[in-house]
Amino acid sequence: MNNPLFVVLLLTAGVLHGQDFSQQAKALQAKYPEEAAAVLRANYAYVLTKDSRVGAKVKVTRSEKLLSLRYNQAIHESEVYDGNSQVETFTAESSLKQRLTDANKLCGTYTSEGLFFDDSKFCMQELKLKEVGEVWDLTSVKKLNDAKYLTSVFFQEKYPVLEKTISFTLPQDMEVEIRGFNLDDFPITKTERVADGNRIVEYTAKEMPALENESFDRGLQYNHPHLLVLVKSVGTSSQKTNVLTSPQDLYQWYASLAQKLQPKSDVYKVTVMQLIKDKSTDEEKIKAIYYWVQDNIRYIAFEDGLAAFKPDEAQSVFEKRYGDCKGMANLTKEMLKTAGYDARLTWIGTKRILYDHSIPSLAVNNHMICTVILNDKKYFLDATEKYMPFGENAERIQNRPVMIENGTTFISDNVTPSDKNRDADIRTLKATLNGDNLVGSYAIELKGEAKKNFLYSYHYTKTDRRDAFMTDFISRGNNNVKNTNLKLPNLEERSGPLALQCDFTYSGAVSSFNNEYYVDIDPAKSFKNWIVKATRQSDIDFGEKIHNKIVVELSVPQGYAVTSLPENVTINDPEFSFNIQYSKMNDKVVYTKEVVVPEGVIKKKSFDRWNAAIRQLVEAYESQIILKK
Amino acid sequence: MKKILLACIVPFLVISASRAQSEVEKKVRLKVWGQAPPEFSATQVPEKWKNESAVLLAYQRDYVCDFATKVGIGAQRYYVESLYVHFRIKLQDKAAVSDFSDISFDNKSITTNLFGRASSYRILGIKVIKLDGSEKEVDLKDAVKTDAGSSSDLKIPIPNLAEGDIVDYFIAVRSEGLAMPDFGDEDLMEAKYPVVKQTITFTVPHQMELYSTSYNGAPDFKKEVKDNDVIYTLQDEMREKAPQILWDFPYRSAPHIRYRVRKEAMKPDATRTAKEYLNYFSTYATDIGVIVDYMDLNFDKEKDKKKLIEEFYYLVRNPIYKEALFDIKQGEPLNSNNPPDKFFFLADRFCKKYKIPHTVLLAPARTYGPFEELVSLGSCDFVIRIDTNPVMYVARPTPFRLPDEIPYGLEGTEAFSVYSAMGNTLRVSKDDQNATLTNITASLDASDNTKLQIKRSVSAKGYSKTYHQYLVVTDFDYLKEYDQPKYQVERSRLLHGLIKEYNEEKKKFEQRLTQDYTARDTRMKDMLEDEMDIKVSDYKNLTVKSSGMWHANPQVEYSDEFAAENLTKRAGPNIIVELGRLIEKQTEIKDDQKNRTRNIYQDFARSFDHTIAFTIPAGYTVEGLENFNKKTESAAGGFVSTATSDGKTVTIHLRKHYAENYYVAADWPELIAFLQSAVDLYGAKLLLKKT
Repeated sequence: MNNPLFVVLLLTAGVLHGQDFSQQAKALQAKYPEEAAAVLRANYAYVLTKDSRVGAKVKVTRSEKLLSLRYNQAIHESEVYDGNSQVETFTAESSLKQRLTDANKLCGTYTSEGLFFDDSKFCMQELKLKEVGEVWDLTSVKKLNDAKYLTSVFFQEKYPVLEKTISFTLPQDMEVEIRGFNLDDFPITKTERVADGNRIVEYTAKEMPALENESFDRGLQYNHPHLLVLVKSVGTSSQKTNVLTSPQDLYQWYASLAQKLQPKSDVYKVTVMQLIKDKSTDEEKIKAIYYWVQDNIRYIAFEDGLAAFKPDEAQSVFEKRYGDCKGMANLTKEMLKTAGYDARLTWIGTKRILYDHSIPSLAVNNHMICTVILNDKKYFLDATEKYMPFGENAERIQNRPVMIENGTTFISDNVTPSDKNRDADIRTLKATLNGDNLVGSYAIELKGEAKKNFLYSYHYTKTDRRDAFMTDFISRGNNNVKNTNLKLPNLEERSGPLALQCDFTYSGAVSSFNNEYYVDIDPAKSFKNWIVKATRQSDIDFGEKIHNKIVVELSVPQGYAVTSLPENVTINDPEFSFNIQYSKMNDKVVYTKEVVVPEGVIKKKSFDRWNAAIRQLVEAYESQIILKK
Repeated sequence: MKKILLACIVPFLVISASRAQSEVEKKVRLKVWGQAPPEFSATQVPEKWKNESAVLLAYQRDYVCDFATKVGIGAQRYYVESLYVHFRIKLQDKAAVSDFSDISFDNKSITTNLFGRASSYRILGIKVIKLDGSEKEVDLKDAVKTDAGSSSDLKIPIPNLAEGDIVDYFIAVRSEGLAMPDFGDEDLMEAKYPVVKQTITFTVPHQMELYSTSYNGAPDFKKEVKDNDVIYTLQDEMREKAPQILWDFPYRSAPHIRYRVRKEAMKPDATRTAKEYLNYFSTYATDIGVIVDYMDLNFDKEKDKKKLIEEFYYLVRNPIYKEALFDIKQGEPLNSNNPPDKFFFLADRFCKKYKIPHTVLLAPARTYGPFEELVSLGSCDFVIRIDTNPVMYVARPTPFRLPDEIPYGLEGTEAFSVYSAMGNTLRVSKDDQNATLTNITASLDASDNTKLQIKRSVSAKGYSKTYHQYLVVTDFDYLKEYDQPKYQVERSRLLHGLIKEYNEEKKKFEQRLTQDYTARDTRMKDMLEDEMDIKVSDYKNLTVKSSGMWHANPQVEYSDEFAAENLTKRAGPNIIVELGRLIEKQTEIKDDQKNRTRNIYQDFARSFDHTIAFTIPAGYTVEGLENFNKKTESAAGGFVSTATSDGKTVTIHLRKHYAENYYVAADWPELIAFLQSAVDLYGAKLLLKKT
């Protein structure tokens, strides 16, 4: 370093380097105007080592270079952990000499969405982005005490990533399978080598967009590139320790937790007997118990530590009148057993889970229900679903594989799907002209999931606000539609369709110009705002099969003639169909619109077709019927 | 009542004595639950409230103050304050059960003194009463920690809770202090749920008194002397829940009480307190050196008092000087705090130094009413009147406030000055002073006639401009507005550093252009989509002509362009254009709000003028101009619109104005009438008929 030229060269290199970041930041700002930062390079190193107690444990080292795209803005970087893991270090340092040590990190508890309490914790560093082009180096070390809790590893982050490496260092005698999902859709490469007696598996991803939080998403596993780590066993054949080698291992672990339960039927026996005493058939008795749990147990989930996997005792849930899915499933099972039925705990992954039961991982199941076997037929009972009829299954569990307890082994099956016409929202209006308005009668028939969802929303709306709720439901949010003389059926009845009637006024539906009347026939322009952004990352999951139908029968007043009817629209796609038909019968014009999304899902690859169809739908909505006096 | 939960924690030794804790808890439970008045045994809801989500069967708030003597080096009298708040609520539907499904609360705390007696505590008790009358207390030991950042320490699900159950819970707080309590507050009688019976009591030693006044039908306190104590009791029955009313100031229109507890039984004299407060101005010494430096360097010869005040105001609003004078950091000037009361001391000193005649005023907020009705000065703010001809006012600076602009919340109030309580009525602005003018040109998109291409220019002034300023002026723009040579002069080391800091930030202005303007375009697009109920595409060319920050251009002015989708409908070969939607959503009075007995409190009088010029596309004629001709006018305000066509362009002029900032309830029909005309115009359509 005695050579002054060398020093100058070094300084010049530093300056050039700094300019590069500044220019790169400007380019990234233009590319990602809404992002506060971009990850230039991230390395996540998962080092698995053997552990005599649990088979294997994991050390995760994160080192990340984050480029600021903002001036004078604070962002937060966090590491999450729980009862099975801990964050050992979490530091950060910036090119503007800002330094955050472990002493700066703020740690606390948080509760995962949908739960009341769990053992989730976080450590957070606040990074003050002083300038555009500032570079932060983040480093953290996290340890997982048991490798079976290492499941899905995702490539995307909350900021766009230019390059990211995820590596796994695996002892040669540790059987670990790493499965990739959605990798083909992204520039991700994989290499594998042996170093220091370990197997090194490394994935490199480039140019990954930031992970977006999107409504009606399908679950991260479906569209986002990720790896599923399956730590199967440790050791050679003579001294082999199974971690999770097969679904049977997974079941055994679940079953070992369930075996610790000590039901005390005395606590709920009186209620069970009371519920079934007047019931003559098995179906009626099972239904009575199932509905009682649905109606009387509130969903409140404590998922701390082992409670995330072990159901709460049936008597505890019964006495507290609250529990999570496992607690409700267990109470349903024990009450049914008390009534003399063959009821069993059942592990299931809902539709948000991509994986099936061929994969031995804790990530395959996120839910528990109860299966009752009656005359060799299985009935799946999910008491977390309110207003769900016996014999029907919620959309989110239909067709999903289940693991039904059966002693030392399990029964593998799938939840019965419903008939494709089960779910429907059918509206029939009989309308006449009244000045600028359409007035008449309005009938709604709800079936399946649509009915269940309506009943839930109705009953969980404050009584004094139910009129407003019904106005909104009937008008589908169109403020110009008002209802009167509403007749509601028995809203406690779960089975069968639900039918309601009212009278309606659709204000401003008729525009008159010089004895010509332009009629906006459809008061419920469903899906008109459903153009999907080109950058959307997730499939659309409506959460139910869509079958919306509206029929408006318009009486043409005497002395009026129909001079123009809009064109019909027919769009049939495997994933959706839109049909709008106008017909003229005597003194009536009948408008029929049917929107069907048979699986309730629109896949990403179908977005172009979907958007084109929505545009056609919107155009049809903007078309008017013309009457002339 | 919350105000008395003061943090007067006496630094006694904390002894962890579980027996003492259980004893004090037992005692509190016995007092609250064991000796509860009869209404806390009620289980039935009056018939008229059967359809309410929940009903408060009983609601009691007891404040108890007593003396005690502490023996140490000498005997010392201290005051013990206790507050018991007790609810009994019947849950009538699943939504109410959901609301009460879990409760968050702060940790129980009991502090004991050297003798093991509780000196201060916070105790909570919850029990559930089932339909059959059986009761079970919730064991709070089962509570778990809330998430980091929550306002409470713990949370617990309420077990075995169902529709028809009653939740009976209380909070008891005790604290000690050396000073005699002196506090006041306002309490509304109406709550989230209807109340069958509510009671408020103040039990104080005979040396203390309660003064209270009841408003708008609230009941009065009754006084009873018992031994050495005086007990004031207010009982209220069958109170409806708080209504959701548009343009309402509940502390002017709803039943409520105002009270003050202290040594004297006299009516609180807010003016006397105000006078004491205002006297600070003559004694408070504050350094205006940096301001004098600025004036010396820039306006040494200036004699115009109005000009001096304006320059002072702009200076104190300047992010550099906000940091110098109030330690408010320069970054993000639109989100920074407003200056504290020190601003008024500075203004007072400034006026004295430059011999500007002025009067310091303390003005009550319109939301709480005139001085003579106040029990505390919490809602008041200072205003300095510059006694020139005409007078001008100096109010607490906000980022966009101009000198001679007072907060609308103080308009028309009778302010108080140290010399005279009379003749200090703050002026009230007229509708034209708070005007918004919008010019819109619209035409069908040449390539896609389902879209409208829109060019818009907006100008707003007075109180109406602030909304627009926060829409279009960014932090970057704001800092740039202050990028003027006169603000670069300095004599002190402090200013030298702050100006250097400002200039360093200025160099980085370009860095925030992208982020600020991207966020602004998104904000504007979202606003338009929401207000016009349209889909906006290609939002562009937002140009701010005036930020409205200076007297030279006191109105904010900007223009923009965008394409609006969903504003046209096909009708055979013809096109219907929903031009009315360009005036943005109008206030619609729902049926349940049409009958009104409470007076109407608006923020300020205001007017909105629109001119819409729509180009008639070639090959079409227009019909339906009459849909855009409306006229509804009264003393309360009005809505007038006219539409004309010259065959090439349809021009619509419209004006909506609220003449006053306050109306009596009897004026409500007049307001409804012109509001409805505006709603009708929002829905008005034009037909383009194919020729």
